[in-house]
Amino acid sequence: MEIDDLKNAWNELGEKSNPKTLSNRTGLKFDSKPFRSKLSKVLIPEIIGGIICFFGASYIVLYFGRLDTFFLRSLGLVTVLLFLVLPIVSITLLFQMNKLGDLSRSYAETIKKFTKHEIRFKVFQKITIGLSFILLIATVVLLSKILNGRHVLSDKYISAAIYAAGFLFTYFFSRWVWRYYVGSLNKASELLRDIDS
Amino acid sequence: MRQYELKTTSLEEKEKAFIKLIDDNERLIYKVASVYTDTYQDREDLIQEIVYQLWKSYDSFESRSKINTWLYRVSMNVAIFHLKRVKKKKIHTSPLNEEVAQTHLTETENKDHKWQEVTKHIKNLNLLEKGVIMLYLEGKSYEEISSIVGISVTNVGTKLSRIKAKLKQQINKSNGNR
Repeated sequence: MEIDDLKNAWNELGEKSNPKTLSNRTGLKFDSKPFRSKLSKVLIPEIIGGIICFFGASYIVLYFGRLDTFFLRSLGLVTVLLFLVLPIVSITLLFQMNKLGDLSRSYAETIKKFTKHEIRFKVFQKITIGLSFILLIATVVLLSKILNGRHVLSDKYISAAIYAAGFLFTYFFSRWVWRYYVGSLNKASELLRDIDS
Repeated sequence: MRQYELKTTSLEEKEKAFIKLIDDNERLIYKVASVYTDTYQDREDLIQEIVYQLWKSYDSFESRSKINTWLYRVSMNVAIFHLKRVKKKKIHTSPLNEEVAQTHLTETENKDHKWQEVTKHIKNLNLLEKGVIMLYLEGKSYEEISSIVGISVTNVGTKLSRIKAKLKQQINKSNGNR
């Protein structure tokens, strides 16, 4: 197949008879159901995650009085803030990315808009995954104090285990981020450069 | 173009004009949907969404741009959102024995087969290239492509020669594999 064959095949499609016209086929329902359901598939896990984070934050706030040192109180405060802020930012970015806006704008403008949002969302996801490890450690420390009244980091074996887990996580996480996000972010940036060149 | 105009029409007339517009341009919508989707269901969903969004923004095209430019812009813009929402699923199939396949292809099937070949090559291009080559294959002039895509006429020319070289390379590679 050559370029000219591509053009011929493209034009031949028009000659194919269609038993039903498009207006009959779609029933002209003026409905956006399939699209909305696809958006829900993206949003639902984020919303569920957000609800879990909200309950986590509420639990810490409820038992904040049990955190008796300056370190534990600061840790509690940062954890609550992260639990509340991260899901809100994530859902907001997803909504922004999927907002259709003015569809009669040029094609290149839409690609630019979408790709910029995509880059922002992926950078945010990268940060979130890094922070989730800190949150995990913070939750272990806070829950152990709230539930057992013990400060786990004062136990040298537990703190050694936490540091070891932290090292392993950081190592594998960095490798994964490098492979997955850097590749897709580069592709997105390349596309933006292509439009502007 | 006048037949699609909306000024001073009732809702019923507006709907009638819109249905005519959709029927007259069904090939265009079908082609756009085919280039941006991989499965039958996705294509049908995208077609429905394009029709829905065209209806929603029907008033906006009036006198602001040529109907064709507006139709392409809305359809292709909706397709971008669709493409990003649908996660690409890899379909595993056994390699097709081309010789056997060709002998059993009827005329219509042969057309379908050719069409699949075309979309297969276009799908490997990036979003911008996909849009530019699709309009080129539709027989649009550089000026029209520039107006729909929103890049300069010179840029259209540069991009097209780059895309053609890319496609040629792809086609040669796939011919070589047979």
